[in-house]
Amino acid sequence: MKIFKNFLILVFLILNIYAYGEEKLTFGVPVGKNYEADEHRIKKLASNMINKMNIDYKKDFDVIFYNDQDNLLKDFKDKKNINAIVIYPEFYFENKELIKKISKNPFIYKNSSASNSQLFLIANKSSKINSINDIKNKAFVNIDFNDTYSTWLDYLTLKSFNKSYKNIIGNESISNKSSTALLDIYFNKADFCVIEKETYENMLILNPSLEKKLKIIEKSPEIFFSAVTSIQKDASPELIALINQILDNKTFKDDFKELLKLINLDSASRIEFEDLKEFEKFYTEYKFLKAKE
Amino acid sequence: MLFRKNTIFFKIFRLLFLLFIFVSIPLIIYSISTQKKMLLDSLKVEAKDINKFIEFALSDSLLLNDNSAVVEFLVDYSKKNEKLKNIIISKENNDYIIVNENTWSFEPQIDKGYKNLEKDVDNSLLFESPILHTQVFHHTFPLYSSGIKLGWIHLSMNLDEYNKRLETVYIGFFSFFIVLLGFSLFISYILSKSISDPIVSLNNIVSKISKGNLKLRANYESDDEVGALAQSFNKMISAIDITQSQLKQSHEELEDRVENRTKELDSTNKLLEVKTIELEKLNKNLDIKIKEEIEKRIQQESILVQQSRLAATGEMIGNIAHQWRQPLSLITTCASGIKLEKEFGISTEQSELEKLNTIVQSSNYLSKTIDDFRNFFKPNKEKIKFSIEEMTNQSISLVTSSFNFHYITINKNYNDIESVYGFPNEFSQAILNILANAKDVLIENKIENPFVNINIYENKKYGFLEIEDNAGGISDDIMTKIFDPYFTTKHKNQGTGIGLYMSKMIIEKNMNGNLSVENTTIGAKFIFSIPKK
Repeated sequence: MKIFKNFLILVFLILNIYAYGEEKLTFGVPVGKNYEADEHRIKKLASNMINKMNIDYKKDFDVIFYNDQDNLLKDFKDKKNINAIVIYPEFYFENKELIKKISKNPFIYKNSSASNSQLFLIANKSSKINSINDIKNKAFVNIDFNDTYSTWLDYLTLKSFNKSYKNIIGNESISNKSSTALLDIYFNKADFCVIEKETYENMLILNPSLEKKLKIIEKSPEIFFSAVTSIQKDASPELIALINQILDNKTFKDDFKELLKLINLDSASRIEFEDLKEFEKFYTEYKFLKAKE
Repeated sequence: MLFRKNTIFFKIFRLLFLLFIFVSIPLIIYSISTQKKMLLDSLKVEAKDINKFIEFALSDSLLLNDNSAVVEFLVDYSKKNEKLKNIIISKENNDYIIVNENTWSFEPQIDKGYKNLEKDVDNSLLFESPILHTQVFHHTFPLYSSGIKLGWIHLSMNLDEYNKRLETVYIGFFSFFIVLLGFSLFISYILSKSISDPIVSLNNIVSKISKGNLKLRANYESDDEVGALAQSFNKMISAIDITQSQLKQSHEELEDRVENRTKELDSTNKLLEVKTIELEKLNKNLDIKIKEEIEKRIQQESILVQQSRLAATGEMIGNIAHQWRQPLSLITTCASGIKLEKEFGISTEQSELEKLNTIVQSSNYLSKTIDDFRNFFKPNKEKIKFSIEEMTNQSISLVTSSFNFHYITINKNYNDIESVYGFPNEFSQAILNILANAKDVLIENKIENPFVNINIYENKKYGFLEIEDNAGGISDDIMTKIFDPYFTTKHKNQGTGIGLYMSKMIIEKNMNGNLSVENTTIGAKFIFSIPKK
């Protein structure tokens, strides 16, 4: 799972830790290889955001970038340097029990405004793909920064062919945005892609004629998210209240839209760990199928 | 009161006000159009900047035909740029990416209106967008990358800001116009009042003076024309005042004079009445005198006719004398011969008979001559057809002896003409008069080889007779008088001055013809025109 999306979450968490009193809110954010090209830019934008939040909320915020998620989790567990973490779905799934034990007040980052994302497998009609069984040797557009799309595709091929998608499809290209991936399908640069339902619907609003050339082959359950943030279990109620205030503030998205866009996120919303049950179930099955391959 | 239509104030006010308005309105219109142009120029500059940015950002994508990247960028860019209503990438391969504010499409063709704007240089205009169906500022740029032409970019920019600014301009100029209007009214009022006040004041004074108050004076003092007019007017009124006083005095004097003149006129009238009576008497006498003069004139006319007859008679007698001279001489010779032969006893019966026969023949000739003259002078009672040639020859025969006696040659040049209509004997008398005059003047002027040319010819309506002598002609100073009665160039004993007058009367009044005279190279030529009908 690519680590990046949580970078955002980290930023938000920074707001919290020190929100009231002497408490300083420091986010631990993993920065993986997928963001190498924009790492410097991301860090700069995140710093700017922290500065702005310091002013807006009269609180000390900070962010620490980690190249290794294990170190990040270790520091969080040891209450060292950071009091909030941003982690990606797969890493969450693998460490869910520990995270639930040592943290509270989770919130997730999404590409859509819905509670959880639904994914569509979409093909160009001219590619003659009518079901998952037709994707053999077809060109696939994967999306950078987020491996949720390829994980779901992998899940589908494992279920149908008992093989990873990489062993079935033809060419795989990378697009940095799901909307661009859809356009590549539309302009016949590739045969199919996996994107969020909301992205597809937004693209249809922009150009309804997309429907004439594109076809939805598969739809996922509404269980996906980009990253999750949680706060130290012993964080004060005031700090939690501040974080909730920031998350509920509708101007937040506008104030930091440049950063959000860069890491391909749309919004963040508060959840309970219980809300991630379906996601955990899916991942359990996926891991099972993967193990069978 | 001031704003009544026919007041000078109103006229000046109206003139100045209209002048202000007519000068300021074109200025305002010019300023507004300049402002509009500036606003459009500003939009153009903005469009150029946008174009440069898009060109820079998309050059690689367009070169690689990466439509996804193009659409991605343009959708994102158009969301950021609120002024952009529509972007069209018109590619050389006739693919068209159309991005609007909230939509985009990929089309195989676009409206002709856009295609017409695709030229080698950028161009801009305000036009009704065929896609948006609204008025936009449209800019079209040729799209190049590394010298390769990729197509065109069409940018349609919304006119909200332009319209807002334009509205501000309009409001500004409208406010300015209102202020200007007020200012114009105020200035026009002040100027009109300052110009018209002295004239109005002068007019009021004049009105009062015209009602009889000559003691009033204009009190406007200035060194301008109106001031000078006021001064002159005051002087004029003073002069009128004095003149009126004098006039009043004169009037009184005039009344006395009129009374006196009336009396004089009465006496003159009475005198006139007396004179009128005398004049009436005089008129009566005048009538009598006129009647007497007319009677005298008639008598003179009668005498004139008588004299004419006597002259003709004298002429006739002279001619008879000439005609008779030879036969009488012959008779005398024969009779003297018989007598001498008887006295010398050499008379023979044969000789006597021969001489007596000669005497008888001569006597008969004399008798015939008398008949000829008697017929000739017998007036015709009514008009008849006659031959000009015949009557001319008859007249010539009467004067032949006389002409021969004076060695005057008659040259005849007759054309064969139709007969004419009139009194032949009277016509002959006229010819005879002209021939007699010719003879007299030829003799008087002692012309060597005297002759008279006689020509006869005609036209459609008239027969003509010309009698021309070679006596040298008539002098110009008397040419116009020769047909007057009692005018003569001859000695009192020789002429009466009646012949030519009577001849003209005969030809023109009695026969409706014409008798005229002209000088030729040799002498005078008399021309008779006698009508054919």
